[in-house]
Amino acid sequence: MDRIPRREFLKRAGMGVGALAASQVLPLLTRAYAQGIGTLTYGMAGGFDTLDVTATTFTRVGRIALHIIDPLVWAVAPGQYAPGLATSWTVSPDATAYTFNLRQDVKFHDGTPLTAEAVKVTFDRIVDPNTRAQTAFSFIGPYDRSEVVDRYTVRVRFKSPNAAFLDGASSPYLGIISPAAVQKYGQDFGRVVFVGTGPFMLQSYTADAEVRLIRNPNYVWGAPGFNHQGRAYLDGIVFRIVPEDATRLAALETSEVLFVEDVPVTDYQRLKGSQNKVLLEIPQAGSGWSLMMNQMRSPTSDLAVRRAMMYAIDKDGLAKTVWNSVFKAACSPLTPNMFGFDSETCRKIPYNADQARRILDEAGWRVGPDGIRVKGSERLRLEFFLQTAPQKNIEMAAFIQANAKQVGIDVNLNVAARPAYLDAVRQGRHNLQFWWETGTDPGQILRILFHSSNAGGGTNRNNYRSPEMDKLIEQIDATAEQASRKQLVVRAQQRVIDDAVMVYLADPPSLYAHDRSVTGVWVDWGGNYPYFFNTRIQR
Amino acid sequence: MLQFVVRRLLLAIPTMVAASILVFLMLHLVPGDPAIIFFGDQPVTPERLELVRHQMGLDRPLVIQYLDFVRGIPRGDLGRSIHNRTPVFEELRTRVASSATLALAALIVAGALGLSLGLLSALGRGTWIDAGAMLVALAGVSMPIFWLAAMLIFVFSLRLGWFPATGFGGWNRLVLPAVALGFVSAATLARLVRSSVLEVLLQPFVTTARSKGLREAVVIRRHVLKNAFIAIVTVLGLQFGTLLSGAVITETVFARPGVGKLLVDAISNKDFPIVQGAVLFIALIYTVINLVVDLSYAYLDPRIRFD
Repeated sequence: MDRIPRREFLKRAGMGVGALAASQVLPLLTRAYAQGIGTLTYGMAGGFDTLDVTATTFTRVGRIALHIIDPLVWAVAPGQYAPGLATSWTVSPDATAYTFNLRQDVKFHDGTPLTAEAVKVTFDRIVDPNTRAQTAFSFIGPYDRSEVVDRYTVRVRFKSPNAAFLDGASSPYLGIISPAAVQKYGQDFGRVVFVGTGPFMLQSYTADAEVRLIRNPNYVWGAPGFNHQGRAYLDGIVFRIVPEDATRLAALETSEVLFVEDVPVTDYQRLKGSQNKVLLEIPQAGSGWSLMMNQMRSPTSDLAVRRAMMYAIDKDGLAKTVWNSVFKAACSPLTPNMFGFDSETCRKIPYNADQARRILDEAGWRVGPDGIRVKGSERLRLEFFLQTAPQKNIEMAAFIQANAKQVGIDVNLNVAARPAYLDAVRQGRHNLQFWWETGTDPGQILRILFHSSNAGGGTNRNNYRSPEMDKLIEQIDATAEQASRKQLVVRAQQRVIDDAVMVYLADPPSLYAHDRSVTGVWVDWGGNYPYFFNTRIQR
Repeated sequence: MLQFVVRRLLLAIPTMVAASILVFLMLHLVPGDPAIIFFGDQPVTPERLELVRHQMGLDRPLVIQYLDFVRGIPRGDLGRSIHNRTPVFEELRTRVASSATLALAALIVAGALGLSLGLLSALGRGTWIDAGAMLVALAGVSMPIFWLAAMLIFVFSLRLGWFPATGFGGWNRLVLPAVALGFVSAATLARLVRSSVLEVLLQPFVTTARSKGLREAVVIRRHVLKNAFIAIVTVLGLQFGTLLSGAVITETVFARPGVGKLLVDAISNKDFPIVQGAVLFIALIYTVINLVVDLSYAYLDPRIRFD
């Protein structure tokens, strides 16, 4: 019930006026309630579990937290990092030890200084079972311990090589928090208080409603990569939670909010041509929308069936029909902007229904009387488990179902609420399920999707177990040298296409929109974190 | 009177216990492991999954889990969310404030609109006024609330710019959600008011009052409305409960936090303590409202006495 398919309803009911409401450009009039200059109001597309960035799984919490904390390093391009709280760093040749030299002029919002000890406390807290860290836990990888070398030097050690650690350290999830505040607030840290060193400070948090940040007046340690080092220009930021797409867009039209995330693809064209709004479109890094095929369950245990599925899906058609061509057809488990993306993959599996039919014929799947193939007594029927939200899930699934039928594969859709869905797929009762992943390190993405340690109920719901693939992923994690790392990432992509592990459907952009009066918005190259340190509102 | 109130409040206790046991059992019968839901699509080792299950207290016998919950209640301790470990009372408090404000505002809209529409159509029975008022009521009953909410945003926020599109904060943000939510209730109410008033109008005491030479306005106010109110108050009371806990759609469209949304989210996360706390709260609200409604009967109809 948390998403209401209003637009669908309006379309079906044929209510022209209603459809107009959702999709027409309206002149921006002067509004009595338009916000004061200096505070940016941000329309957020949903709530989240906790404001504690160490414990959350939500990208949205990272978006807020990036303003409250400072990362150790900033990711400026795939595989390239610039100083943040760390002015310089060295990596041991085997990528098991990272030594960071910290800035010496940095203070937390509670007045305590940033020291090597704070880094240690932050990282130790992530691996503490009581914190129940999730995203941060993945980012910190095989963490062993942090050593305080001197007051402003810290060495982070890993149990096994972790070439991806700088990527993790650039994310808000590993942002450094105040040990004094953690000590003082205990269980309430992250719920009512959150203390970092960032350009903004947490003022208040009302669950399901809004998060208010105010400017940190003492901030003089802006990273050299930004065009100023002093305080932020904005007085504050208000993250207002507006889950309903149409309402969020209406609030942008009326300037009730000046910036929105998750612009629906149906509003894409309109905002792109808008006079007073700006659409930000950044290809999202990670792995786009894809289909996982369970190898532990017949008939997707059959390589031929999986290969046929790869050829049977018209990805361009899907991107056009479901995503209004705003999303692009995907080629590989990595999006094209990822380090090591292999463009060869785009030529490897074109849409070709005849090829799919041929593969199935050769494998002994014969077309039955109702058009669905059979082999012995087994019908070629795939159980597809998907969640009720977002609505686009169901649209994509229906498209896939139609494509599969063309080649004689019967796809049965099991639309379930989250608890039942997770039950089914974790137990491996599915043949097919969707996946979508965002992240900026290829090794981390490949591990989530393909490593055998994540099979059998984890995130590798392909239940793909390949010793060669495991070895490749471990080598990627252990190789900090860029050229060889790239080679390994390319090999991994080719491998999973040869093994027909997944069907790669569509690569999404991150879509944000803001009022034209807002300038100086920085977004990371992965598309997930708009940053308002340089932002001004000009009237 | 006092005795009656005390007895009713005591009787509410078994009701709430029954409600909480029922909810507790139902939640545990529905498939879905809260620890698995907690990790969702995040990578996790079986050991970590087991640890979280232990932290959530799910490895203890069901009876113990239930008793632990019950034990805290006298101290006002409803436990903590097993997902983000916020105290349930805290989670409820902010949402209840928001939901209660909206429900009250919606009730005012429903009361004002429903009463006037119903009365107008009853008094002008058979005329075009009656037909018009009942048409509005019919529209209200059959209109999906998300459509009405979207239309209100379209007209009053986007087109006219009178009110904000999101409804959390100042009073001007309360208007659109209250109208959207209240209008549907108003429609139901209008139809009820019409039939109750018509029924009372035929009573002999109304004829008596008229033949005494009372002005029509006085007849309506003092004799007709007061008698018709018994049925109306009953429905209004129940409506308030529904408005408080069942405004999920309105709250979602207008971006307001609320008890209903908290409950729906908690059910899909299988966050037992939150669901139990919220259900207990809703049961309590219904009990109190029913009591207030019953007490108001005595005021409206002197023949009813509680002793």
